[in-house]
Amino acid sequence: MVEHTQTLDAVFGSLADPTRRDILKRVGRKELSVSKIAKPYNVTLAAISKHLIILEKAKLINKHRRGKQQVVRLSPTALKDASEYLRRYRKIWEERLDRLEVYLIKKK
Amino acid sequence: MKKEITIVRTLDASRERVWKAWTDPKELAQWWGPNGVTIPTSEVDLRVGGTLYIVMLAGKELGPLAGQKWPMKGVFTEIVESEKLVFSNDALDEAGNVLLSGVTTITFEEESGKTKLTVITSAAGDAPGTDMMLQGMEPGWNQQLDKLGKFLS
Repeated sequence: MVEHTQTLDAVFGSLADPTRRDILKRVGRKELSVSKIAKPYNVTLAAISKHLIILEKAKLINKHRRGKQQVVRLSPTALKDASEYLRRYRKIWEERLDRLEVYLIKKK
Repeated sequence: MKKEITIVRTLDASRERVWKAWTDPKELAQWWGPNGVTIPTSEVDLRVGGTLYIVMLAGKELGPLAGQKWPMKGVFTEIVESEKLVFSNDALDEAGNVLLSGVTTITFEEESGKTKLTVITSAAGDAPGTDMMLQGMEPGWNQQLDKLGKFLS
């Protein structure tokens, strides 16, 4: 879980922009080359690069080179946070159903 | 990455009984919140398009979190009495902003006089990973609460 306040600020800051959120969503589904990422937006490649730098600084994405292309994917940290979240979400529901069970027994 | 959770429980009560626990606001308020939390508000407008509104209030036992309110708002989209309940569920912050978003489907099946309850709940709105991350940052369900809850139970 991202706990350090500076990192949290970086993440929140990076997510405050709709284009960056959209980039993250798409990259979250599968890794994409920088040119593929830039395609749907009506902005320059330089503008996209700026977005990617911010996301990378926030440790939300990783970039690696594949031949001539730069490929972007969700970072392991981001993935770990997401699965951690899922785990806690499940726990909330499991506990909720535990309480329902106890309640039904009590109220028999 | 899977963003849906499925939980199945067999409850020692009839479907009608379990249904009542889910849909009667007075009953809901008695089992919904975790340890250290009370439910000062629970509203169930049981019809398609109707609202489900529950507010959790952190008690003294939750130390630094005491006094915090965690509202949850949902809309019923499918209701089949004692069989199926589908609703959206959004966790809100005190200003009413949506922190957590999900859709939950609950089915009630009779099994030798008991009820097999299946809960299928999505953890976030649409795309995997990112929404969950965003929402994982919000204060309501933080580690502290987990730890405190465990410590007090």
